Amino acid sequence: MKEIRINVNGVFRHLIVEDNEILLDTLRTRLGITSVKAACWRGECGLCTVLIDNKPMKSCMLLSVEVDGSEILTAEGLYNNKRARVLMESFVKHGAMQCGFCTPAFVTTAHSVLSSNPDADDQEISEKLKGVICRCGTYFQIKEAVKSARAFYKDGSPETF
Amino acid sequence: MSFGGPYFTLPKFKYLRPDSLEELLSSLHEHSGNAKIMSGGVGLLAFMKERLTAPEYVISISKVPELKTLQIKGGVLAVGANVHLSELESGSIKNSLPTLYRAVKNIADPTIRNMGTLVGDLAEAVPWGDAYPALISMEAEAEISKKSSSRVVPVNGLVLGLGQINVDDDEIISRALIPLRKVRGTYLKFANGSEYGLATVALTYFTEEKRFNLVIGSASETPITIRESDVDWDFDKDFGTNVEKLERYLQLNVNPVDDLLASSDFRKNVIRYLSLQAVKEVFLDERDQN
Ligand SMILES: Cc1cc2nc3c(=O)[nH]c(=O)nc-3n(C[C@H](O)[C@H](O)[C@H](O)COP(=O)(O)OP(=O)(O)OC[C@H]3O[C@@H](n4cnc5c(N)ncnc54)[C@H](O)[C@@H]3O)c2cc1C
Repeated sequence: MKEIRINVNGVFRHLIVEDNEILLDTLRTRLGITSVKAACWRGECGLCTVLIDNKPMKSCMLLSVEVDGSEILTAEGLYNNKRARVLMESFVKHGAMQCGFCTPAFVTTAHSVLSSNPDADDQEISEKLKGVICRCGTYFQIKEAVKSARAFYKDGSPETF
Repeated sequence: MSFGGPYFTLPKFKYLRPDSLEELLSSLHEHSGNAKIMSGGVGLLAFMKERLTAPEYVISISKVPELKTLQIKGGVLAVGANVHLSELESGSIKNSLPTLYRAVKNIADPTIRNMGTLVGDLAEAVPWGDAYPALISMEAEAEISKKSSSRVVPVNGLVLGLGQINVDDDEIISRALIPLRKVRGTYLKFANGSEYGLATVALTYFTEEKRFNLVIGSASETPITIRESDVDWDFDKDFGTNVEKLERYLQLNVNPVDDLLASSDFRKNVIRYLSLQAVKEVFLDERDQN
């Protein structure tokens, strides 16, 4: 057992975790953060992607003890972020989902892409989203949604809202 | 924890997280044979989930400052064991070490590259790994450290076979050392929909010395290296003649594995295609290697 201190969606958490506990389990089972989806458990599908110190990472391939001291953001935490809200609304407006299971992972990844480089071009957006798989195949709409929200990350004014 | 089956859980182990290289090496010495090093953990956790390995101790290097450095010194780029793959995607790496840049871009996806490391990919020692053939083609060396000493060896030869590296239980690959010479290079991969290559070609051309290493990966247990002398490549002759010699050499000397993913013949065709693309790109294409 190890003590960890993490900031999850702006809330400080002091947890005692097992040495072999997987972050995906800590987030879903202990903290009830269900936007982080459990699917392949082997780093392939990316549905468990969370932002760790603003970098997208797959929580099924991380030990909870390893993220001690980090800031973790999930889709729940992005709801209070004005820019991310525009991004989420853009997903809805563009119909960038079918079943919706992958949406939180795409939103968190796209938020990290645009907030670290608001000038990301179309190619960079496509490339950086490669870590998440959408089984419904709504990639085109997802990319359109992200591109459409890009202007808002740049100068604070949304392109289409 | 919550699901109770393979992939969902990890075997039990004791997690150690030393704060310095000295502490790490002592810990590795103390638990030698019962411990595994964890860099990004992407490979190690996958192996542990599948119960292919179950070490008593997992020693994380994530808090060891000495292993986080990416540094140019004495004409060498030293990549610390805890430098993530995404840190190698910069414009300066693209210009100075095109083979490395392109190999890294071919590994998994950008999210995994935020987690995994170059040294970890090398140490994982899977035949379809992209780091090993690229490092061989660039003539990289590895710094290997243990409690009382360190040694530097060529990367070529470090991987012995699936999951096996020529590094003792109390040792760690502390840095990959990549020479910064005038080079042109590329890395091509045929993966057929999966992230793992059926065949890859790493080509590094040392322009001042007029010699190259063409390394074929993912097609045999360990990579195959072809040098200009092997194919009798003559830089004063026309490109077409040299390409014919290369094709002949590949046809006669390269015998890729036959497995569930692809037949040997299919791989042979892929290798021929990738090799020709690579030499065209490196020797004919003077444009920026984008
Ligand atoms: C979805 C997915 C796709 C992938 N696609 C690719 C791909 O296209 N190409 C490719 O090459 N790889 C691919 N991989 C593999 C991945 O890139 C590697 O697992 C990762 O880079 C390993 O680095 P790591 O830092 O996570 O190593 P770890 O998981 O920490 O370590 C891997 C192994 O090396 C040992 N080790 C680690 N560091 C050291 C060290 N410094 N000294 C000695 N031993 C050490 C560990 O004990 C362990 O056995 C993929 C993985 C996933 C999950």
